[in-house]
Amino acid sequence: MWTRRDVIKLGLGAWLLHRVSPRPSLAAGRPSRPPPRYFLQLVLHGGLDAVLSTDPKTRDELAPGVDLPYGRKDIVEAGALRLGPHLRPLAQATSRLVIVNGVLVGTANHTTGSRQIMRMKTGVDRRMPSLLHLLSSTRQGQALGWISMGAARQEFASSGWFGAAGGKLGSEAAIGSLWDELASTEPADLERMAHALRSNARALAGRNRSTAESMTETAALMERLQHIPPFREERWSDDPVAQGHAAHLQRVLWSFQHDLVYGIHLNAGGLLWDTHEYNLRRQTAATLPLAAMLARFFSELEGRRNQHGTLGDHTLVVIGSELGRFPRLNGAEGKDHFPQAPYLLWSGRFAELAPKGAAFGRTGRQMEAARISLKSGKEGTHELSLDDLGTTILHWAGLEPTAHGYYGRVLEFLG
Amino acid sequence: MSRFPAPSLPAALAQRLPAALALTLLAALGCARPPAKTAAVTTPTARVAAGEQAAARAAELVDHLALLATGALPSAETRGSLATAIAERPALVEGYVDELLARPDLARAVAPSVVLPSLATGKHVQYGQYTLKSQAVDGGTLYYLRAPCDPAKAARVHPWWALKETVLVCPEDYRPKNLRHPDGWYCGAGPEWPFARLPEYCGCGPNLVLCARDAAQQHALKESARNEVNDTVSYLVEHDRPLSDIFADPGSFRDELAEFLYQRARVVRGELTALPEISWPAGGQYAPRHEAFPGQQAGVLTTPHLVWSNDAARMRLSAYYRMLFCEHQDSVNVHPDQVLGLGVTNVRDGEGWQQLAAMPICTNCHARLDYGMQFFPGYVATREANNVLTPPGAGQGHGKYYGDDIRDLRGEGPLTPHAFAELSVGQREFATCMAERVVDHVFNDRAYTADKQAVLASYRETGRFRAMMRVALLRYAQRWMIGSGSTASPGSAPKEASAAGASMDQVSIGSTLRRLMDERCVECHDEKDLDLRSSTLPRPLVHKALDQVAFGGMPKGSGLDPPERRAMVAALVGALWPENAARATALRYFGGGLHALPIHDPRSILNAVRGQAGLVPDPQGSLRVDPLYETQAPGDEREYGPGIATFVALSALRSCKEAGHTGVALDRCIARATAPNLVINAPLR
Repeated sequence: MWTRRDVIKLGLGAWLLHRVSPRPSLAAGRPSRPPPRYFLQLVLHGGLDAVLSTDPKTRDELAPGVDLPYGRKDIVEAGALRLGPHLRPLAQATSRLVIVNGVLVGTANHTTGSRQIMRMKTGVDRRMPSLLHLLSSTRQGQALGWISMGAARQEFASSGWFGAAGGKLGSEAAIGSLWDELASTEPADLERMAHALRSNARALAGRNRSTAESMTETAALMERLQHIPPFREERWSDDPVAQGHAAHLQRVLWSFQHDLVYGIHLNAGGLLWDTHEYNLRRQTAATLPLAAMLARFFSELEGRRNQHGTLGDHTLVVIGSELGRFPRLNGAEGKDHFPQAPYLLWSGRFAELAPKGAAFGRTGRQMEAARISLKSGKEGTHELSLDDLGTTILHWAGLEPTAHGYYGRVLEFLG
Repeated sequence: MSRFPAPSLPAALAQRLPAALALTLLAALGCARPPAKTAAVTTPTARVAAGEQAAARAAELVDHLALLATGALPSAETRGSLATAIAERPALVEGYVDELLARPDLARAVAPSVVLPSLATGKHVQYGQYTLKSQAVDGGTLYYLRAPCDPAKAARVHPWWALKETVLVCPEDYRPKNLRHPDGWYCGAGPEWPFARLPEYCGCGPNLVLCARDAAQQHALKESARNEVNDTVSYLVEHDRPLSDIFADPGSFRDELAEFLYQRARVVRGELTALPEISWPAGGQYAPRHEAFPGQQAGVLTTPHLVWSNDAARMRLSAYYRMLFCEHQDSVNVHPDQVLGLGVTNVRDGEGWQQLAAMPICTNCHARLDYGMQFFPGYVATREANNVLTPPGAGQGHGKYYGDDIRDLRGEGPLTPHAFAELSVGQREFATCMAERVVDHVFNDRAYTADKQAVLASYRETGRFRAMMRVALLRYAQRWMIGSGSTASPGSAPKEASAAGASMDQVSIGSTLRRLMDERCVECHDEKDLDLRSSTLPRPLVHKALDQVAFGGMPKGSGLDPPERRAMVAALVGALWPENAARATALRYFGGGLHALPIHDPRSILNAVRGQAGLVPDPQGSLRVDPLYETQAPGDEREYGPGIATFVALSALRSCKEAGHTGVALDRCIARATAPNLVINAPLR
């Protein structure tokens, strides 16, 4: 019988073996492109089913018993991408879209997974700052560091927090009542509040930098809100679920376009993808409307500009779940948890890498992750993990990963 | 004013009130006298200045103690007179703390969010209640779920909300016999859940028990169910009952609507054919709950709000352990090969639970969870039912209760929720958790080991919330009067540790770090596969150690006091990063520099802001506190982020306008009400 100590030793041993290689950022050198100015982390809370979306398969590619509820004709060949039926709406929006399949997340638990995805690394503690908080230190003129939107939960919280807890998609608390309160406040009153916060920040500056920064960030937001047009929701869909996503995505566009915030964490639905029952039906209901709105969102990113250029050129979007779905159906036609998940990335930096989309990462006959090459993203010897994605994103932002507790490898195949 | 029958003050506390003024605080704490900071001051002017400073510090302490114990500021008169008195005689703090703890506000405004953080204001949950629509027709109101029908064909039904009256209901929306579908699931749940919540088979059932009259009543039901949790905690704390009763007592404090939910379950599971008349006091009462089998009820654990907050049995147990043991459940180092290797596909809620509970790695959580689930017969997944069922043989079995893993059998008992609760509250983890909650509330993340130990000792001695709060608040007061540097910055990393021997793969362990590791680490980590005794260590290992020490994962056991942790982090950072720039970056990250200062509970902050604007607390305030994450967060995660800055500013604006200020007076009021000294739970002077 294994003891807890055995497990810890095994974990540490594996960790050491994995990490004794050269340090990631040193191996990868300085980032070659300017860091993203805006960052959206879109969480499909619960677990996106890879075989239905990012990693479609045919029957002969899978072991018997692995769930495959569609035929070869349902697989969408789009540009350089092969999409599952649930991502069909993205077929016309593959430019700059990168799929990374088979990412090990090391957990089969939502709570741990949620804390991890906020930090884009494994082995986290709830007191660790989020990746967005770290990245927001690189902001250049945006008022706020980062905000949380959507169905936020306690596990998604971290230092530098601005947002709501609880609330379902489309409900009044979904965006965060504070945001809405500010929007409905008179400019003169916004100015009053900003003045008071700046005064308090000056008094605290020598005492605690982060507290003073919270006050100045908020004051800057209040000052900027006085001079920009208020957010107005547009109708993108007649489907209420899709329109709920659209409202959030439009708020993201508005925030970036007016340089209000560096990063946004958007939870697209509290455990909406946690499909332990009726997996196909529920994954369909969760993913299809979102995919349709994402296609529109990507085109809006490419079309909208602010004083820094086209939003699409300056924005990095990371989409994914805190864990994945088990490849076989359970007794309730659902799928349980799987410690492996796919991720979608969309960015102006992929214009050359993925003009018609690109897919990396490999999975086997049981949908299990296979090792890949850090250079090509295809067959190789490296076990791709969430730590690698987090490390890569920090590297792109020009931050030293190890100084922020990130010990993964930079994914060179992402450019 | 409390809504509960006023309890008599605990005898010991009542006796202590007058006597407290004569006791010295320091003697009571068994602590050393605070440093005599004014010893060198000799001139009369300096003495006056020092006295004013002490009075100002005491005034802030009076405010903060009130915020922590009652969630609101004291009156200006109380603050003024007490501050002067306490500045002269610190021992008077004890009497003040006792007076605060004797107020009902401790139980009503503070205890629920401390004992059950995240639940006190948590979201409403679904109870499988369909919402009726209505239209006026000749002879009354016609109710329907799907579409209006011919009133002449409507059924006349005694609705649960007015059993002596009758209402008209469309026949296809009534369906009094259709409670359980032939496939086994119950109306209120079903295969369509949660997308389409009204299966074709279902209607409102007998007495319309599965329906709410309208959206307002639907909301009221959810509110009552949530209030049952809060009010049960409040009632038991106000009556100075043991904290264990919150989780194990068969009774609960509830109103008529919450009682209806228990009676509804009896109808749905076929125990009753019609709803009984419910006679209940308007303000609610603490009373036993119906039990389908002995031991079915267990404190808040079996309240509808908590039972249906999770959609499956294992999830429910996971939430219970989080409540009972403050367990921040981790699942780490899980590889797809391990999960595939289980060889089962129904790992969550069916076959294979015993296998899962015994499997390496899985057993660390699943022995506890899966054997724990067996104590809750009839508490099914929401796809099966939204009422507690009574399967054959419920309450008759005997089961095992596990701790850390399958080898850690902690006890056995009848397979009932009550037995589960009794076993749980007897565990060391429960005691530690209750102490942790109080400590986090009072000290946020800045408690010392001695604070934790003292509060834990109080729990072990008394089991009571009030007694634990007393210990914590007196220690807090002592710390405040001494003026310890609780707003300390991360400090700086010693350079000496990084000098000789540093390389890409190895890190030289300098003398400071060596001493700290010898004192705190090598007691456990002295074996060849994890040996921290060497003068150089692999760089990845030191990174790992830094991660663990910085965020509290190590050392296990009593942990480190904040200054000691800062020192060890600084030494580790100094060893890992010889370059100044990277060292400063790492020190800010690992040393807590990205965290803002700790804050009070947002409900208390709102009251403090209102108090600064000259207003009294307003529990139904126009600015909602519920959606704030910080309202639901444990105390050690609450800090002054941009969200709180916005909340404070908006609260100040509203309060100052409500107080009638305009123009320059409004600006002054906002400046006063946003001042951080009553938001941040630490001395700022």
